[in-house]
Amino acid sequence: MIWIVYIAKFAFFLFALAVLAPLLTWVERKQSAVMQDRIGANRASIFGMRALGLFHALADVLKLFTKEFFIPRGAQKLIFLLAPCISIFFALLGFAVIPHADSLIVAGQSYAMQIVAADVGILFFFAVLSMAVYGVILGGWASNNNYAVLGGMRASAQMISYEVALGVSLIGVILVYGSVDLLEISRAQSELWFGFLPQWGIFVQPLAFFIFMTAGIAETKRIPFDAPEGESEIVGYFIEYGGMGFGMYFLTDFIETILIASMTVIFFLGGFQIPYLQADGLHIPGLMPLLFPDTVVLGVFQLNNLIVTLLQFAAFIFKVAVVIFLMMTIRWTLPRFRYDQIMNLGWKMLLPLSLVNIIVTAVVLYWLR
Amino acid sequence: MSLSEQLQQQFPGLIEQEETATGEPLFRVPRNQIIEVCTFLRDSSSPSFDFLMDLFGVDCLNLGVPYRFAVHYNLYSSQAAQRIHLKIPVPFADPIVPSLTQVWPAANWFEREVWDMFGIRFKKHPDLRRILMYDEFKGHPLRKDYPYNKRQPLVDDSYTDREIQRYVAAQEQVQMPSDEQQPAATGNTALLEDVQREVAAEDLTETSFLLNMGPSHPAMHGVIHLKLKLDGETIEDVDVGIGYLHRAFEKESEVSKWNQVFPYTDRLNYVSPVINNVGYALAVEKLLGIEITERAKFLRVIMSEISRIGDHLTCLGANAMELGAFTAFLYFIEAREALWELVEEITGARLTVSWVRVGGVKADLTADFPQHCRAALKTVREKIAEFDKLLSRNRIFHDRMVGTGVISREKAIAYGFTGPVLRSTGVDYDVRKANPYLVYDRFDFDIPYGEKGDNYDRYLCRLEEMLQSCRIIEQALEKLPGGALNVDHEGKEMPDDILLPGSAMADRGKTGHTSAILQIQALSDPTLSGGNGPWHEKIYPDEKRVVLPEKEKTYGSIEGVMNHFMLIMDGHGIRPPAGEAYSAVEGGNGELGFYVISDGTDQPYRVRVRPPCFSLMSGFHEMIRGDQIADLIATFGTINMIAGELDR
Amino acid sequence: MNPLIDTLILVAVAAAVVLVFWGVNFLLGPRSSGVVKETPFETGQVPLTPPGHRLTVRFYLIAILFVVFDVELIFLFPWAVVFNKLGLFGLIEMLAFIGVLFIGLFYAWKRGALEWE
Repeated sequence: MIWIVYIAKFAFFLFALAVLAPLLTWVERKQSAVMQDRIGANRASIFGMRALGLFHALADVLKLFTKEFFIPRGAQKLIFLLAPCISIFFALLGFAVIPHADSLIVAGQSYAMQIVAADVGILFFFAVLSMAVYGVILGGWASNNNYAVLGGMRASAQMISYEVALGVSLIGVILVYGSVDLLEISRAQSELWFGFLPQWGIFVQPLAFFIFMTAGIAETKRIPFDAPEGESEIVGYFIEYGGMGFGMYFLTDFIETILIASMTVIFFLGGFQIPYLQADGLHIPGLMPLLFPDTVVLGVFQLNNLIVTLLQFAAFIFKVAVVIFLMMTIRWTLPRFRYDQIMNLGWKMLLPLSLVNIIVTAVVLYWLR
Repeated sequence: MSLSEQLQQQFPGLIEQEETATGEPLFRVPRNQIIEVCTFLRDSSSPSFDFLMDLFGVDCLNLGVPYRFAVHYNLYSSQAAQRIHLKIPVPFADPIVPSLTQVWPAANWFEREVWDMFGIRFKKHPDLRRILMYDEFKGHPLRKDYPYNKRQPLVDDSYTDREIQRYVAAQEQVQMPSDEQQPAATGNTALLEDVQREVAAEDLTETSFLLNMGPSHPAMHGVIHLKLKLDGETIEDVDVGIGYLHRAFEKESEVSKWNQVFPYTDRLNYVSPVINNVGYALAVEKLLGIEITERAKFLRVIMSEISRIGDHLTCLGANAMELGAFTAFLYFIEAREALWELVEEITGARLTVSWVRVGGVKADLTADFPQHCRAALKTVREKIAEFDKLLSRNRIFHDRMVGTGVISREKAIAYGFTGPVLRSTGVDYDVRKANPYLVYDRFDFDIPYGEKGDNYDRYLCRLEEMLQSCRIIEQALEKLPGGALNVDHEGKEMPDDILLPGSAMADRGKTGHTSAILQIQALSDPTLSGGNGPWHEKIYPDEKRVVLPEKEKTYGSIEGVMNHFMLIMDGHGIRPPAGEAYSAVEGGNGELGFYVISDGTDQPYRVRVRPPCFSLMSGFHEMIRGDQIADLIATFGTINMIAGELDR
Repeated sequence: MNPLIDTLILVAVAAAVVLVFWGVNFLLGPRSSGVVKETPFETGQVPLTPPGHRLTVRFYLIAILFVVFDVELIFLFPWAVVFNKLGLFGLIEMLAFIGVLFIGLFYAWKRGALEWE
């Protein structure tokens, strides 16, 4: 039995890696095309089938696999080889603690829908995120190239700056839910305010939401925070990488996008929670007798635990997709920050604001107690 | 007191006035007096000449004058909207001229070009090295005794290897100190030597380093090489290396017929080719002394303004793209596409149009053009409004553009800046207003100008200029007169027998429409278009000694062939009288001037183009010093350097 | 279901993925070398300064600031988790702590440690 669980877990993990990240490249292409009055990539075909350009994701991966990877003269060989691995390795680890749904109960036993059911999810997430910086800075440093060094320095300075704001903004969330366990935090968001408003992080901690989103986009190094890889300025820290070396950095960006979007969902958008859906079924305040007349007695439209879990899983994926859509829309709308503007925003705006957020949250919580 | 009298009074007996057909004064100045004369003209004369617009050399080998070279100076007075040309004879034995860099810094690059092209040295020039040709080039290509078809290996094979060896050796020295002697540096830039000296001195406070940007860098479009001296991200100095796109425009022009120069002008500023066409045609027409028809003038104005809008759209769009706003770029490209379809409709081509002819234009407007044009302008206005909403008040964009790439008004004038970059500093100099050519004086339009001279002002200037151009086009469409299109060499109007639009002349096969060609029956038809064209009966010979006959006539009638043959064959083409003429138009980036010299044959003796980008790039270092790398991209974008024009 | 074992297995899987990436790339990718190709790509020119030079000190300032604030962030986590049990004492203690943080931030700000130019 336990093997089935493990196999299911890691199959899902590999699925997320092998399907979601390439799929995201397709989404990015097509969404930008729609925003820019274009058709977008649609040439790659298998037996004449184009499938709206979906095969481009496959073609991309194949191309990267068949490109040469070479080490430039003067590079630190071991570090040069290791750096992209570090980047993608830790980005992948980040998926471990994401709760995709509430615990599934099969034959009286409860299974967590998490790869690693750790109760220190937030700390794990931060640990992994901090480690990802090393891949970037080492890659830049080991390439023996001025552009790569500049990019690496920019990237590391930017990522550590926004990590502070990212962490501080979450303190408010932890204060409210009283836990660093991502599953607990997700569960806590099923409760209702005033009988109808779900206690999602975005309603409880609106300021923290904006800070987290901003800092999160900065962590993924995408527009408007793509100064480290601003291709029209300094080309990027991966300038010397070819083949899968570049491919890994490239995938890391997309995996981190998914990771940050998942975390946003968990902390601020109720995680896997569907409003009014609880472990035993639907509870719609005030409307139950109207919608489902036969539930008048219990006030609950009963659902099987498996169905609830599947619904929650679908809700989680849907919410992540919405957040990614939002991030992509930002990416295709805004121009790029200049480097000092990024630093100013991080240190002079986001950090003080998130500290103020902690103070206000703590005082209000104490007052409400 | 006239200028001539003032000069005679100040420098008695030294200055002679030469007669030219251009209506602009040309003075011959002895070379040891040039600095004094220029200083006098800049500071004390009335009107005072604040711009050094152009400086170029002429090889007078075949002109029958006692001196071998001449260096021309083209000064402009913005207060009186007046030009003056100075010319100093330079003997072959002693080709040294005092450098004008202390009077106008704009002279720096121009003098380097003259040295590069003619081998004339400039005394006390701070940095006299080749500019358009590469360092290893032997000889001075614009001299008349340099054969135009002589080939030299572009770069010695050993060059790259040597450079890399040097680099590898230097690196190994850094990593493991050895007694091996460092190879001599081959880069001859002052900047490199500067840094090497500093490295040698082991200055522990020195944190700056050198970084190559370009020629193969995503933002250095066109092709250009910047050698940056950086401290962290801050730019301390820059050395601009150009010439990667040098195509010998001026040399090629000297071995072409007057009309054959048009295709080359297309490739100068390839974003707005019609303006280049018009500029060159105006200069030749000035030399010939002919006045073109009203309708042709209007047509030239309309197409010039369409090109100008396209130029600015490309510039601003690319600028936004380099700042990361890719979507805004594509919105502008969409607007430009609407305009390029108009250009295609009229000229039959999209990029290299070669639409203007001496004496007129190649093709008339189509019947539907006014509607199409108004529809396109509507699209353009919509896109500009959208772009404006997306970017102008966007905080990120605003913060990146305001206060970066600043140039002061005085410096902009001293470097000979023109166009939107000059206007952003608050000088409202625009050739269309100051010296109206064609029919620009009949339209109601404004010249937008800024005040701070930063990137944001340049951005706003260009944005507004597009709207003003739309106004001009609309007025021109309303006032468009009928009548003949072309004139002959005596200035007489020629009957407009065939008013074919250019698009009908385009070779469909060449544009990929081969399926249409495959269906054509092989008829013995004189026209190459393959069908019994309606123009077949209209073809009749007429005496055209200036304008090339339409292609249909050339293909379709013996008289047309003869006409064409005579105009193209060696020694039969149009022959302007010997003389010199300068004509300037407002290009996308500023004053685009053509100085043409004729020796009475059917080939130009010298065609000098004054490319606006050249001055702009020569002052580039002033704009980005102290800014950051990211600002360099924004500044480079708003300058809108077009390498085709810069390198020629 | 020990989380530690789960984590170890995950690490192994992730490492395997990375190895597969490299392995397939090395198998499928072409191989060639040359002096020009091996030179660092500095947008088409031979580099003028090798990248071993000193970098501007501002990067290091940012790193130090990061250490300062990130360490304090660690102190905030346990406090936030047990906030409800700590009561008024915990609140005031942490307000004082954050106050000190603020003073530190403003000190660094005023001294120009956050200025990039």
